[in-house]
Amino acid sequence: MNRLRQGATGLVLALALGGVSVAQTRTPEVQAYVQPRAGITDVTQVRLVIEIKGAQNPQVENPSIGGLENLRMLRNRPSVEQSTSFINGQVSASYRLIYTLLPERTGPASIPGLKVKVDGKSFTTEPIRFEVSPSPKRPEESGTEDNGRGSSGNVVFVETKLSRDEVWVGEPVMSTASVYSTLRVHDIGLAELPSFSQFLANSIPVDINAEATRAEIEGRGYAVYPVRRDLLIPLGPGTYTIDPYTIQIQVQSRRDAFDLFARGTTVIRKTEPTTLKVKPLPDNAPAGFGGAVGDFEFRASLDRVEATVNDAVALRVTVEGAGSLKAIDPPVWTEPTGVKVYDPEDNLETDIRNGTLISRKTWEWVIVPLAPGNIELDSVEFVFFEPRRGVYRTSTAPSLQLAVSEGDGLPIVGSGGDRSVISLDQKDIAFVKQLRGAALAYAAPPLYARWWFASLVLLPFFWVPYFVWLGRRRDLLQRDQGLARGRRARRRARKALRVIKKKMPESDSASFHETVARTLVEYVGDRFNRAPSGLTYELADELLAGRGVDEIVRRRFRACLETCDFARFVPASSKAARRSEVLEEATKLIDTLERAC
Amino acid sequence: MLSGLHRLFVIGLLMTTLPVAAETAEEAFERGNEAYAAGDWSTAAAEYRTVLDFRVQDARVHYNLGNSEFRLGRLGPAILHYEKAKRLDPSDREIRANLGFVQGYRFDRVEVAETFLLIKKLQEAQEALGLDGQAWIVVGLLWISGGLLAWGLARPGKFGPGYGWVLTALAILLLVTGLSWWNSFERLERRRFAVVMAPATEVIAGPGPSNPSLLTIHEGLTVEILEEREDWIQVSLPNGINGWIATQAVGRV
Repeated sequence: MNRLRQGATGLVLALALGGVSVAQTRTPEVQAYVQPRAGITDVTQVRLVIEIKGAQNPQVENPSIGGLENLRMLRNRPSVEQSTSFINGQVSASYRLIYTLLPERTGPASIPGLKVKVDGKSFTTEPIRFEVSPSPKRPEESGTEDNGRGSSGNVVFVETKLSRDEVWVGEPVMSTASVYSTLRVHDIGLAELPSFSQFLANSIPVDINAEATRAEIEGRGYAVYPVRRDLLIPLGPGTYTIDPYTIQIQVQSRRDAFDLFARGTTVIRKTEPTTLKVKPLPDNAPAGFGGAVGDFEFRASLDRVEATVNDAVALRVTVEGAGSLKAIDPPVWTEPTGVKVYDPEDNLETDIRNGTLISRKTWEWVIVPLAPGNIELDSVEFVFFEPRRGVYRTSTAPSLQLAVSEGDGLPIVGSGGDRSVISLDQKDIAFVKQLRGAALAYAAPPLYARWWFASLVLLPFFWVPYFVWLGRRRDLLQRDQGLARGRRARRRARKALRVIKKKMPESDSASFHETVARTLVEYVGDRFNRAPSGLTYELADELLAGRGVDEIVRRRFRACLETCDFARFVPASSKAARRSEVLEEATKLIDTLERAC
Repeated sequence: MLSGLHRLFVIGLLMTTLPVAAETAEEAFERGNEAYAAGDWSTAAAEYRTVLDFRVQDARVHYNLGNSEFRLGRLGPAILHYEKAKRLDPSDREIRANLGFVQGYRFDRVEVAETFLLIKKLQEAQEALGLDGQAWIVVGLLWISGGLLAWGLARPGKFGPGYGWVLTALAILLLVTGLSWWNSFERLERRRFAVVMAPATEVIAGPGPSNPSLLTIHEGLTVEILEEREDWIQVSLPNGINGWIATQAVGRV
C-alpha cells in the first residue's frame, strides 16, 4: 500500500515538474536566413525568412528592412507563417516573417543584421551574405540576359517598345512591354513598374490573351503577349531613360505538357531600359497657345441662331484630333457687349485608335442676351503645335450671329437664365394672392406643440386603464352575488329611506316605522348576504358583532329597531317630530355601519 | 428711475421700431397688393416686409413677396420667400408652380432623381393634408380606437370576433397615419434649408477659408443645412455633395 502511495506521489511530481518545464517561458530565438540557401541566380526570387522560435503567439513588430546590397524588395509587407510541433515530448513553436527579394545583378549580395522586436524585447539577426550567379541555361529557358533573349534553344524574353524614339514636349508616346515566347506561358504578371517621373502617364488596359499575336524573329516563331501599355506625355525637354519593367512569367515546357500535375517554372524577366528624346517646342508660340500638341480640328457653334432677351444660349467649341487635350486652356474669344457670359463647362473624351491617342474636348459657355438686337460673336481661335510639321498652327472658326428679340418681357434676372427654362410651358409666375376675407396667420406654435393638443393625444391612454378596472369589477360582481349585494346595500337602504322621508307626511305611524325597521334589517341582510326574512334582531346583532362593530353602535341599532317596533304597536306614541328623529337616526346608523363593517 | 426726457426718448424709439399701431397687417398687405397690381414692385415688396414685421407667418405674404422680388430681378430673395411660403403651405399649387418657374432661372442646373410614382402621390397627399390635418386625423382615430377599446374592456365577453377585426383595422390605420405624420414632420419640419443669396459662392471642404474649394454654386440654389459652426454652415447640395459655405452667403428658409 505504501509503495503504491509512493509511486503515485512520484508520478504526480514528475508530471507537475514536466508541466512546469513545458509551461516555462523560454527566451525566444530569432534568426534570419534566405531561401534557397544556395544556387541563387540573378532571376531567382529570394525568400528572406526571419524566424522566431520558442515563443507562443509572440507580438512581433515588422522590422525595417534597409541597407540591402544588390537586392530589392518586391513586396514591402511580409507574409506570416506560424507552426507548432511536438517532437519527443518537446513542444516547439515557430513564427516566420517572409519577405520576397529579387537580385539586381550577378555578384555579391548581402542583408545586414535586422533589428526585430519580439514581445517588447529587441533582437538582432546575423548579417547574411551570398553570391548571385548568372542563371544557368536550361533548354526551356535559354538565355542569360536579364530580358531572357538568347540565340538558341527555347526562349522566353521580354521587351519594351516605344511608339516613337523622338517626340516633342506634350506629344504622347506609347510604351508597350511584351513577352515573347517559343513556349506556352501563363500567369504573366508585373513585378515592378518604371517610375515615369518625367511624364504624365496613363495606363491603357491590355487583354493579354486576346491581344496575343505571333511574330517571327531571326527565323524563329514567337507568341507575343502584350503585358502593359503606358501612354506617356513628356512634361519637359531632354533625353530620358525609361526604367525596365520586371515581369514574372509561368513557363510550361514541352516536357510539362505530359505531366498533369506540372505547374511549370516561374521566371523573372526584366526589359532593357529605353531611351526617349524629347524636343522642346519652338519659342515662337503665338498668343493664345494653351499647350495643345497634336493634329487637331476645331469648330465653334451656337445651339440656335434666334433667341429672346434673357434666354440661355449655348456656345460650343470643340477640338478633336490626335494628341492630348487633358491640361489645355480653353480657346480665347472676345465677349460682345449686351450679353452675360458664364464660365465654361468642359468635357473631355479620349480613345486609343491604332496606338494613337485621340482626344475630343468640348467647352460650353452659357450666353444670356440682355437686350434685343443682332449680336455678332467674333471668330474664335485655337492655337496648337503640330508635331508632324514642327510648326504652330492657328485654327479659326468663323464668326457667329445671334438674333435677339424682345420676347415676353420678363425681367432681366441678375444671376442669368438656365437652359431648362425654355422647356417650361409656363410663361410667367402666377399673380399675387388676395386676402379674400381670411385674416393673416400670426406666428404661433405648431399644433403638435400646443398643450391642449398633447392632452387630446394622451387622454385615451388614461381612460383605457379605468375601463379595464371597470370591466373587471363588473365581472367580479356578476360572479359573486353576495359581494354585489353588499356593495349595493347602502345605496338601496339610502334610497328606501329617501322614499320613506318623501312619503312621511301622508303615511301612518305604523307603516312608517315598519318600513324603517325593514330597511335597517334588509341593509344588514344585504351586507351579510342573508335573507331578511330569517334575520332576527339577535342574529343581526351577532353578525354585526362578528364584524367587530362597536358595542355602542350595536346598541343604537337595536334601540332604533325597538323604537320602531314600539311605535308600530303604540301609534299614538309617535309624533311627526319623533318620526324625523327616527329617520335621521336610521340614516346615520347606515352610514356608521357602512364604515364599521 | 427714468427722467422725463429719457422716457420720451424710449417711447420715440419704440414708435420708430414697431409698426404704427393704427395700421393692421391686413391693411399693409392690401396696399402691397395694390402696388403690385400697379407694377410698383419695389413698394409692394416694402409693404409685404412691413406685414412680416407684425410677426405674421402666412404663406400668402411670403408668396407675394417672392413675386415682388422676382419682378425686381432678385432671384435669391424670390426663391427664399417662395421656399418659406412652401414650408408654411406645402399643398399650395401656385407656390410650387412659381417656385419651379423661378428656379428655372438659376445658373446651377439641379438634377434630382425621379421619385417613384407611389411615393410621389403619397407625398402629395401628405402635403395636401399638411402636418395639422394629419395630426387631427391621428387624434380622431386615437379617440375612436380608444373609445371602442374602452367599451369592449368595460363589458368583457359581450363582443364577437367582428369587434376584434374592427379594432385591428383601426389600430393599423392609426399606425399608418401616425407614421405618415412622423414622416411629414421629418421631411417638412425637421430638415433645415437655405437659399444662396450671393451671386456666386464657393463650396469648400471645411469650415474655414484655408480649406480647398470644391466647387462654385450660384444665387438661388436651395441647399440643406447639416451643421453650423461660427460663420460657416455645412450644406448638402441637391446632387448629394457636401461642403461648407459662408453663413452670410445664404438666407435661411
